[in-house]
Amino acid sequence: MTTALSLNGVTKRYGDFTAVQSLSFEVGTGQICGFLGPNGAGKTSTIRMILGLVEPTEGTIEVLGAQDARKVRERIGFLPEERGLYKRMTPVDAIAFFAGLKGMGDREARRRAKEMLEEQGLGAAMSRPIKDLSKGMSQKVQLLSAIAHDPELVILDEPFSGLDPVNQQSLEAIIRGLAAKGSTVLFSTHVMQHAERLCDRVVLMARGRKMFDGDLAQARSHAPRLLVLEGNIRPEAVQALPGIERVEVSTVADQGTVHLSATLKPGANGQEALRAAFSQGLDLRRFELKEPTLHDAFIALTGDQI
Amino acid sequence: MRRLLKIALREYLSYVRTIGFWLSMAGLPVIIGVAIMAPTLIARSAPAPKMAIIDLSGRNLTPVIIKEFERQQSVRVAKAMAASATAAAGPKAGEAIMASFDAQGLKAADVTFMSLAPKVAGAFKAPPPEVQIVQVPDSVAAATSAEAAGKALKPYLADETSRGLTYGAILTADTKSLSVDFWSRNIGLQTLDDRLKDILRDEDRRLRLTQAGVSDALLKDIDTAEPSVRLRSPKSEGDQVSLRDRLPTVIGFAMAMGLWTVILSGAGILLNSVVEDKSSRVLEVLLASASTSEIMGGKILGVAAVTFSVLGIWLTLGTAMLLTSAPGLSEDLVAILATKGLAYYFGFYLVGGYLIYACVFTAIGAFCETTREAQTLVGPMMLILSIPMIFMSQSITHPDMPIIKILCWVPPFTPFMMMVRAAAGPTLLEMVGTGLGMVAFMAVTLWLSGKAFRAGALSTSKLDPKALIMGIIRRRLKPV
Repeated sequence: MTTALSLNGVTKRYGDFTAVQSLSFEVGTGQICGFLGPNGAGKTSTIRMILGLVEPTEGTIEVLGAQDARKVRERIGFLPEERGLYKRMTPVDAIAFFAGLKGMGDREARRRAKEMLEEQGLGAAMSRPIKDLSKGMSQKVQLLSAIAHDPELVILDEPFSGLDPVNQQSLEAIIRGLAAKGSTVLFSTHVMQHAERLCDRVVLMARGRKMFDGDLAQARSHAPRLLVLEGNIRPEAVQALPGIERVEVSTVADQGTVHLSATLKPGANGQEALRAAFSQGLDLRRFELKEPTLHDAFIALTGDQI
Repeated sequence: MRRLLKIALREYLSYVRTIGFWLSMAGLPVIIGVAIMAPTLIARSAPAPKMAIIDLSGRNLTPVIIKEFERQQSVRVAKAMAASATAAAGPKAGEAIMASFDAQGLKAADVTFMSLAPKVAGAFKAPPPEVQIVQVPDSVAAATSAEAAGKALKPYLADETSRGLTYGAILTADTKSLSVDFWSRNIGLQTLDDRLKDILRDEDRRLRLTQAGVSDALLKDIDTAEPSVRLRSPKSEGDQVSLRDRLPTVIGFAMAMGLWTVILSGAGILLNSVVEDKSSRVLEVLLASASTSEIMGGKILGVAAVTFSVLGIWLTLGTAMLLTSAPGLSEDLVAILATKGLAYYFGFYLVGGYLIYACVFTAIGAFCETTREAQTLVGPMMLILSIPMIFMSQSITHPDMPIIKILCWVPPFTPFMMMVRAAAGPTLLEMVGTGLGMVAFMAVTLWLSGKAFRAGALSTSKLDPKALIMGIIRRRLKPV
């Protein structure tokens, strides 16, 4: 797989403040990469450096084979965190204008704009001024403006923020469609569920530093797996099962029923604990192996960094 | 370049597609037209004010006053003829009419008018008299004292009377001097009482001199023997300084004023445009699609096209109006614009001045999220820009004043100050030196503004001029 985006030892300082520290990662062509982290993690600064809007203090960035993204800006699509469109323009004019800046011919850009708006159910609104559209509609128009020219690399800064669940789903479909057509997508978010559903790989950031870089399974493997147990059991007995690291009691019901969660040791197998529980005759009514989410992984990886 | 033109086109269309643009485009010529025509229309539509003279002086002064007002009306008519002839056939025609009037009176002036500008003379309407002297109402005429006359006059000065007098002048005299009780319906009107005072002073003087033994013939000789003053200058084309000699300075001043207005209007539009783009976050999207120079260049070019479109349409309208209403002047104007090179200077200073201020205002706009913030930053700029305005009007009468010459060498003021100076014939060194200074300043402004624009476009905090300048000096910001 070829590399669409590569960052090597990138640092960005604003005076005494370090926004990004020694960041390195790569995104392969056609991948959807989630760029995750809480607010202030350095995501927007990194995106601005990738786009060539600000220069790194240290390190190098290669975008679509170029050392400077500005040289290949026509092959990049960008949706900024804070949306910006000309309010008096119509959606068709806006999409055609930005596609035109990216090198598309006027007629082709307008045809494409109309086609995309129809596809997204905005056909009836295509000739209305953007100021008269709903927030969700405007955001869709903004996204279409960023991708109308069929970019090879699409960078979306917090694309889901402010969207209702229906529009979020629709945006996820657009992102999948871009990747299906061969575009590379890098999107930043602090909502892990979107990344979990969409990404081939994730880069986790906290306080300007990369905390993790890999695929979802690798990310999740950093989070502890849990056993959720329920029954007439003593925590000490559960703690004695093989592979159990620690036990936390959630609730104790009226008739001695206990709900507890047991953290498995890294690499431990939940099946062994289950077999041991049965062989010891523990009075269990529930035994559930709970796989960690990306959010769990994020918490585990960032620890006290957030 | 393609992106620059695309941004410029969008900028241009975003303005010319608004109703406000066309309203303001049509509004100014209409307002100027109304302002020019209003005094004439008001004077023509309103009847001449009526004045009754109640002469209790015993000196039979009414005919003297009537005669003097008739003479003054002749002067007004002659001047109106000269103005019409100047517009139709040039300044020399106007001067010839006034010369005929001075030598032989209104009839001779009329003959000259007919011969020099027959078309205009045929349609000429003399301005109405400044005042119409009417017969004194009987009840007022019967009064024997100023107090009684005033009391009798009052009802005629009120709006409700059918006689509708505007003024009443009650003349009395004692052994030493004449007195006038000047009654006016409108308190704001003050001009006629002064006029009356002058007439009566001259008559009193004439009477006293006659009583002292000075003959009427000698008095007439003294009155007519005014010193002849001829205005000469090495810069005048003919023997004496004529209106045509003065025209270049007036035109230069008008062009400088126009330049100031056009440049500041354009820069103001740009400032608002950039602030709007910054506050709506469009600027960041644009920066990902085009370089700083393309965005700045596109915006500056687009707004320049808007400004020059307005200027072009106004100039076309103005020229059309000039050609139809004052063909005689238009010939002189074109000659002056071409021979003195004022048109070329205007083009040069328009481009230079616009670029300087457009760049500065664009950079300021990039740091502002709201127009209020922008106004705070632009305030000091406007104070600086008022300096040439103060001195531009002075340069009509004193084009070679040292302060004006010095200001010409200050690059931000060069476009405006040199535009007025250009008509006065500055030296080659002054022209070339100030021009080069302006171009160099323009280049530095372009460079600095480009850097500032980029820093401002991505900034989220308020402008810190010190940090910005230090950043530029340390070359932390590199052009996109």
